[in-house]
Amino acid sequence: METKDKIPVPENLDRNISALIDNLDAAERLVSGSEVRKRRLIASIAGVAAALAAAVTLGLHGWETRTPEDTFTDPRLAYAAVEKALSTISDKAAPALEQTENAGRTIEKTSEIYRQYFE
Amino acid sequence: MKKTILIIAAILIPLIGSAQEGKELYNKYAGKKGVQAVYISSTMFELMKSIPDIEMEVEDVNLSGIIKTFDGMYILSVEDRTLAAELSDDMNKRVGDGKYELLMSAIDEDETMNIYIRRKEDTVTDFVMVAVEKASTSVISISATMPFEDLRKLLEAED
Repeated sequence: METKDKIPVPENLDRNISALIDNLDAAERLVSGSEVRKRRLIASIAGVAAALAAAVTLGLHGWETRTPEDTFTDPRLAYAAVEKALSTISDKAAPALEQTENAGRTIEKTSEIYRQYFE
Repeated sequence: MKKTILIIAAILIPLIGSAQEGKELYNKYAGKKGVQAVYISSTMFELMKSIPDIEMEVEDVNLSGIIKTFDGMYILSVEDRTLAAELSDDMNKRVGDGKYELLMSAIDEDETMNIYIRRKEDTVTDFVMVAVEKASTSVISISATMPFEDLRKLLEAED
C-alpha cells in the first residue's frame, strides 16, 4: 500500500475499543444476572406450590381413607341390616339364576332330541 | 429442592393413581343428600359372632354361618340422579381395574345388576353388587373369607 492510501488511526482508539468491550460485558452481566434471579424466583415459587399441593393431597387422601364410623352400635341391629342386604342380593340374583336354569333345561331338551334322532 | 419435589411426587403418584377402594368410596358419598349409607366394621362383625341366640336359615342355607365369614360391609343407596351416575362411574372404575371378576350380570327392565367378586382359589375375599336404575344406584360391598360354595348357596337362597 502506498503512503497516501493509509487511513489515519484516531487517537485513543485502543482505549475506546477496550471501553466498549467493557461496557458490553457489563451490560451482558446485568441482563443475564436478572434472568438468573428471575429463574430462581420461579423455581422457588414452583417448589413452594408443589409442596403445598403435596400437603393438600396427602391431607385429602388421609380424610378419604379414614375408617368410617359404624352405623349401628347394637350388633343385633347390625345383624338385621346384614340379613336385609343378603336378602336384597338373593332377590336381585334370582331372575338371572332362573334364566340360567331355563337355558340349561332347553339345552338338555335339545340334546335329548339330538340323541333320539342321531344315535 | 428438585430432589425433594421428585421424592414427594414419587410418593404421591401411586396414592393419586390408585383406584378408589371401599373406604374412600364410602367416605365420599356417606352423609350427602339423597344418600343412604350403612357401614359395618370388622369389629361389629366380631361382636355379631358372639350373639348366641340368632340362627337364621333360609331354604336350608345357614345365613348366620355365612355372615360369620364376613369382615366388613358397606351399603350405599343413592337416589340423587347426578350422584347416582357418579357412583356408578366410580364403581365401574373400581371393578374395572382387573382385580375383580364379573360373576353375574342381569338386565331387568330399567335396572342393570352386576355382581363382582375377588377370590383366592375357592375363597371369596370381596363381593360387590352394583344395581343401577335410571335415577338411582345401589352398592353392597362385602369383605369376607367366604367359601365359594357358600356364595352359591347365598345367591340361590329364596325368602
